[in-house]
Amino acid sequence: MTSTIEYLRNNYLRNDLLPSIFCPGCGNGQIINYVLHAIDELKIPKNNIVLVSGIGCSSRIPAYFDTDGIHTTHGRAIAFATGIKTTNPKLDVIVFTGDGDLAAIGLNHFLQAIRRNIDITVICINNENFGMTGGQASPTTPMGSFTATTPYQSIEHSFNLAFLAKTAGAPYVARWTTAHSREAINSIKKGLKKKGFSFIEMLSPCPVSGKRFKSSHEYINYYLNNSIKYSDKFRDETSSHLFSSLEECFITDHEGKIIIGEIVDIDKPDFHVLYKKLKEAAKNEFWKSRQ
Amino acid sequence: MIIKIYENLCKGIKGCGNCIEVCPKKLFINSGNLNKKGYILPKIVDPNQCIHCKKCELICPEMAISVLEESG
Repeated sequence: MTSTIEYLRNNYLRNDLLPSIFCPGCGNGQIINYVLHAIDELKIPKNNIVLVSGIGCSSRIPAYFDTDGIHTTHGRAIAFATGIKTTNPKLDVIVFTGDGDLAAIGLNHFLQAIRRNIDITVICINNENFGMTGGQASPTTPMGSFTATTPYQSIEHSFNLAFLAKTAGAPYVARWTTAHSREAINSIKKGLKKKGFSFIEMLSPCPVSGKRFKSSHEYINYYLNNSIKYSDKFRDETSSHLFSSLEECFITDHEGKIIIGEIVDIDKPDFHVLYKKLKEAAKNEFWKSRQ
Repeated sequence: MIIKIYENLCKGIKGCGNCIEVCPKKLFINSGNLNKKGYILPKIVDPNQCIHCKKCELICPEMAISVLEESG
């Protein structure tokens, strides 16, 4: 009898590359685990999946999957994914991207893909710094944090990517932390099934480059005790957080709590369906004019 | 209940230790043993107390823990 996790590892991952090169306690491994569970529960065939990634620690993830994948240039993962999905709309395209990749250099690609409503699933692994290059401040670093480039605390306001996606008009937006396993798996499943752009932001620990905690279990404890479900009561949609003093560092969201949950779940016609309709209509009109 | 820790995959309880943090029954403890790469491994105290919530299996970044319900 093979265990489920063993089956998943042997069936979907490239076993010869394991254990992964990620640092001990990195959240990327958990994301692999959650995506594996989601793909397995949806019974998506392996050769129908394309994984796209940019540059960064999290962009190493497609290398471990025994599926098609493409490791692209910095920030342009969504642009490549748009091309793949538009050429062959039958594929399930998943984009793995970090916060530096998505929110710093690739922010405009992200917003334009939401505007076009391309049917891809974007999983943003947000560790609130540039982990691969040594923990520099990124656009999602909370105000008041200590990083390699802000040794006396960061004074910049930060992006909240999930609310940014909501404002741009994404049909499915969810925000979880790596400590919320089952919820994250359900969100990834919903995102894969959704027709249209689905965005899942995963807050992830960075115990090596991040200055907040030095081990992953402290992050897990912090996430479980300091998160609050998005609801009518907690609708703080401002992009950043207000502080009374700079000492209130490490505060991520509303009243020191991290807002998590499903933020948007609506239906919207996606690019590929509209494009098909447009093509047929244009063809008919062309032949009518020739008669 | 059979809980198996794949020792060659585990990244140790010092940097990670997620299994120790999430287990509701606190079944994982420091074993004091090192694996081939020099990471300190966890061990299971009493597998019979396991309630099969599979939290450790899901939270493990290296997929190094498998929880199996005994058949029969």
